[in-house]
Order: sequence, then structure tokens, then C-alpha cells
Amino acid sequence: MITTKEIKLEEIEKEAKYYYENGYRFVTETCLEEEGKFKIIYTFEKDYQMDSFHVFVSPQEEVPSISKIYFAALPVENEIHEMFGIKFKNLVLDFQGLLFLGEYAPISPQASIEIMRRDKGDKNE
Amino acid sequence: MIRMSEKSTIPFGPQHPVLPEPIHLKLVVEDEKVVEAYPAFGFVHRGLELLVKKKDFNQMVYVVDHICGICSAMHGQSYCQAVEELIGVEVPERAKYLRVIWAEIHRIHSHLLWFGLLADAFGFENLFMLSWRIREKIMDILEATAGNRVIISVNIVGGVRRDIDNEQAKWVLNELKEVEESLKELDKIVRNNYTIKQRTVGVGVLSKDEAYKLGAVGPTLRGSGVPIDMRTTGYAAYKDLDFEPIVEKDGDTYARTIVRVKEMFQSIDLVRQAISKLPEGELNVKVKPNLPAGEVISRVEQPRGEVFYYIKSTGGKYLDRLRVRTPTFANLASLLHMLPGSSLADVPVLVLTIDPCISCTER
Amino acid sequence: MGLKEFIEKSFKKSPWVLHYNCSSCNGCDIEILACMTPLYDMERFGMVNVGNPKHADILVVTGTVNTRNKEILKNIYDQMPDPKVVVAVGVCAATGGVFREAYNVIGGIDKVIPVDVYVPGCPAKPEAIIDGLYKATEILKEKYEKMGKAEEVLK
Ligand code: SF4
Repeated sequence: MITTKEIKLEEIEKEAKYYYENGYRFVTETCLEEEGKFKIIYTFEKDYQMDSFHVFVSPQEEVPSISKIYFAALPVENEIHEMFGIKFKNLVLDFQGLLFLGEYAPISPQASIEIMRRDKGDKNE
Repeated sequence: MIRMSEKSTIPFGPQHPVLPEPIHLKLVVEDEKVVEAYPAFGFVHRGLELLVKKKDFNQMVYVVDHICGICSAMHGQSYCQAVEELIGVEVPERAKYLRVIWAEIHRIHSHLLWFGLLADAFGFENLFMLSWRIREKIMDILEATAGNRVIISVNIVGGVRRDIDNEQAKWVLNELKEVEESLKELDKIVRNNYTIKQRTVGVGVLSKDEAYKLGAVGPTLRGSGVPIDMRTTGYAAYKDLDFEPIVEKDGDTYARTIVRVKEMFQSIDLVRQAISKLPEGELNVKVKPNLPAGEVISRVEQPRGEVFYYIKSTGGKYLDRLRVRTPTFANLASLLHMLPGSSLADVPVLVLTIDPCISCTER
Repeated sequence: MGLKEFIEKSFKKSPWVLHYNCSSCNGCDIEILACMTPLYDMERFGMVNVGNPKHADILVVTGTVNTRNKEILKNIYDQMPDPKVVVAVGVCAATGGVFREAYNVIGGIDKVIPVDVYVPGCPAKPEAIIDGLYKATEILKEKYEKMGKAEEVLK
């Protein structure tokens, strides 16, 4: 079982800096849906002890990216953007939602809350 | 006259002879130096995480086994450990030891496979064939003990589904002795061969600090001198076995090679320890068909590094969310950090130095 | 033996193989690689693994087709010269296997290109793969002969 503390959207960067300066290693971010909102869990590790915090993101909000602080967060955040449609601010390298999914793949396939729509509108088969 | 130092973009892959898997890199090069590298994936993306909505938690074991064929036993293991923690069942001791045995045999096979591919990447085909010949012995062990060569699917929620009896254990130890002999030869080659050193020493250097901050895992991290190995957290039966994480200081491809070669000997040692301590008892316990609500994170050391499983359930037969962060996905940042500044001819070696597993990464 | 007969005879004996990994789990790929290594050694049938579709006679595909590599697979197939044979290795390549219900998966590769030989197994054993490839060489010969006849008719 895990316990995470909840923080606000604006505090993400501050919190990540805190972990960075205290010598934590970035493990991953996990995105899931809870009650019509997205929940992103950030996980860090030091001496095999994991430490996590989470934020709730409503569909219109943009999440500040921590990829400037932890470069390792870059693929993870691109993946979340792609799978759930959440937008990230200040990504170091933005794949525009084409990291894993091709042009004809379903859009934000893992989310039931719709944020993005592709203009071309062509689906596979 | 044409100025030659203009930038040009070279695609690498997706169908590249060096790589068994499709990875696509866009390399911006100036003369022979890579200045920027952009990866593009998606050729293997299937969307397995969402299958939790369609398959119940027992069936999911077979799906996570197929996330990657090379470390499939460990994927199953980490998933099962997560679900077991969620339900709160205690796995029988014998099952824990058997899980260690299969996981370590898998590690040897994976490292040998990687070693062969690395040799192939720098054009040493003979060594590729050699290391794959040694690997066939390991495959025989897997086939004899688990019933299949690559995807063994021995783990189920609550334990394992197969046993290794005393007779077979003896045979396994015998075979491992032969493997060890051949590995010693391989070790000699790695330490003395001019070609290997020429192509790997000083290539893809990651300092201790960089590796840690880039979130590298596994041999990529340990090759830079950071002793992090998830096995020391003592899941399964590792708490009763005696071992130390293997580290090298230099942080280049050669150091990572040495780490992996040493880990093979370590794995053989761990299998020996586990077989000598193998307790009697049941293989698995029955679990209830419905899950309690909760969230669990489970981490396991795979050949390529630590894998991260997050599961969430709100009760019922189906999980609510499964998230897998595979080792290669964590090592991508290191790869992107290493590529700029290298020469074009080193790119295959650099890609292989993190031991990429694309089908893990994309799931 | 004239040159023409010689080429005909050697065609079947030395097919060049191109391996493409669609979205497979690696299990089948490493078994195909294992086929090339000393224990199984598929080179004794004259099969050489090549990286260029224009050189290849037999296309070995592992894994399911997903929305992104559909085009690439079709592309590779189209680039190969006639006669060509496609071998689908593993249940994934045949029907989609375990991944069948995943959202990004279209199904077996026969949804995109015609398949001549199916090799079952998850992963297929090296023995089965070699058997499948051997069958492929026979089909290749048949196709070659048919093509020759067609040419004669056209003359
Ligand atoms: S058939 Fe099985 S082993 Fe082969 S690629 Fe598919 S899932 Fe992997």
C-alpha cells in the first residue's frame, strides 16, 4: 500500500526542486482517472525509500512540466500527454503526441475524459 | 567549394540490421559528429496497460508476461508480487525460492543475449555466435524446468505453477557448471580482447552524478558506480541469499559490459544458493476471486534494471489501473544524454549500451 | 548444366531472408535470431539474413500489426521483388494472440499482406521456425516456376 500527499498544481515545480536538491532520484509519474479528474502521482526515491506526492488535474488545466528539473521526466510526461491528453507547460522536448501512437491510432486511448480531438478525424480501418 | 560541415539529418532504423527491434532515431549530424538525437517510437506500441479492463487479474499475468519476451519471468513476478501484496496473501517459501531461481536463470540468458548483440553491433560476429551458443544451454535449462524456452509463464498469483524436483535441481547445477566454464572463457575474452576495448572503452560515458540524476537504472547506473539494486530490498527470497550489488566506476560501455559479465557469475551463484536452501512445501496458495480496494507499487530488478508496477483496484475481478515503467523507459533519458557529441559510427554501440528493450518501453 | 537451369536450381537452395519485427514481444524475434546461431544454424539451408528488402526472397514477420507499422510492413512487402513468400511466425502474427484486444492492435498480419506459411507457437520453437522456412522455400520454388511459365506464355 502506498500513501501520497496531495499538493496543488502550482506547487509541483517547487516540490520537485525540493526533491532534486535533497538528492532524490526520479522514479516515475503515474496518471489515472478519479472522479472525473486526472490524478498524477509523482514518485521519487532515495536509499530505496519511495516518496510520492500527487496532484489532481481537471481537463482544462495545464500541468507545469518538471522535465527542466528532472530530464528523466521527459518521456514520461510525453507519454501522459499522449495517452490521456493532458497538456504540459514547458516541456524540454515536445513530441506533439506522436511518441508512441501513429497518425491513425486512437486519440488519448487510455482516457475516458475527452480533451483532444485530432482534426483530420481519420480513424484506423 | 562545398562546405562540408553542414548539418544533415540521418534516420537510424526502424528496420535496422543491428537491432532485432524497431527503434527509430533521427540523428542530426555535423561531419561525423552527432549533435542532436530525437527518438521516435510507436512501432511496437500495443496498449497492454488498458487490457486490465478486459481481462481479470489472473489472466493479466499472461498479458504482462508478454510485455517483453526477454525478461518475461520478472514481469510476471513483479505483477504477481503487487497483486499478492494487495490481497495480502503470503506466498509459500518454496515458491519464493523457485521464483528466484527462474529469475536468475532468465538474467543470465538476457545478459548473454545482450552481449551477443553488442558484439554484433561493433562487427565481431564470431563473438555473437559464441555467446549465443553458451546461451542455448541456459535455454535448455528453462525448457526442461519450465516447459518453454523463452516465455515461461511460471508465476501465478499466489505462487508458481511448476516445481523443480531434486533430480532436476542436480541436473541444473551440472549444466550451470558447464555454463560457468564457458563464461570464464568469455570473461577472459572481454578482459583481454583488443577489439572490444577499442570499441567500448570511453564510449558513452556517464558520470556517477549524471547517471543518478538522469534516473538511470540497472547496469547503466551500476556501471557508473552507484550501488542501487532492487534485489537488496529483499523481495521474494533475496533476503535470505548472500550477494552484493556489482558496481564499476568508469561509467563507459566497457564498465557496463563488465558489470553484466560479473552479474552472470553472480546469478549462477544465486541459483546455487537458492537450490541448496530450497525449502519443502506447497507451490502456491489459492486466492479469492475478488480483489480488495487499494493501490500497490512493486519494484523488481530485471536484467535491464528496476521495473516499476503500479496497480490500483476498487474491488471486483478487474484491476482499475495498471502502470508499468520499464527499465528501458527510465534509461531513455541517459541515451538521449549520451548521443550528442558521439561519432556516427558509435551510435549502434551507444544504443545497445543501455540494453534497449523496445517492446518493454512501448508496451 | 546451362546457366538457366543452374539459376533455377540454386534459387530454391539459397533464399535470402528478411526479418521484420512488427509489434511483437521479442519472444519470437530472439527465437529467429537463435535459428541463425550455431545450434540451429539455418544457414545450412542456404538462408542468409539480410537487411535490405530488395535483396530478400522470404519475409519473416513476427508480432501483430499496429496502427503505425501497418504502412511500413506494406512498404517492405511491396519493395521485395517477385517471387516472394511471407512467413508469419508466432500466434501474434497469425491472429493477434494475447494482444488481440488491445486498442492499438489491428490483428494478424494477413490483414495487411498475404501470408503463405503460418508458424504457430508462443513463441514458436526454432525447430518449428526452420520447418516453416523450409516450407517457404518450396512455395518459393512453385511460385518461381509459375512465373517462368507465365513468361513463356507472354513470349
Ligand atoms: S507469438 Fe508470443 S512470443 Fe511471439 S511475439 Fe507474439 S506474444 Fe511474443
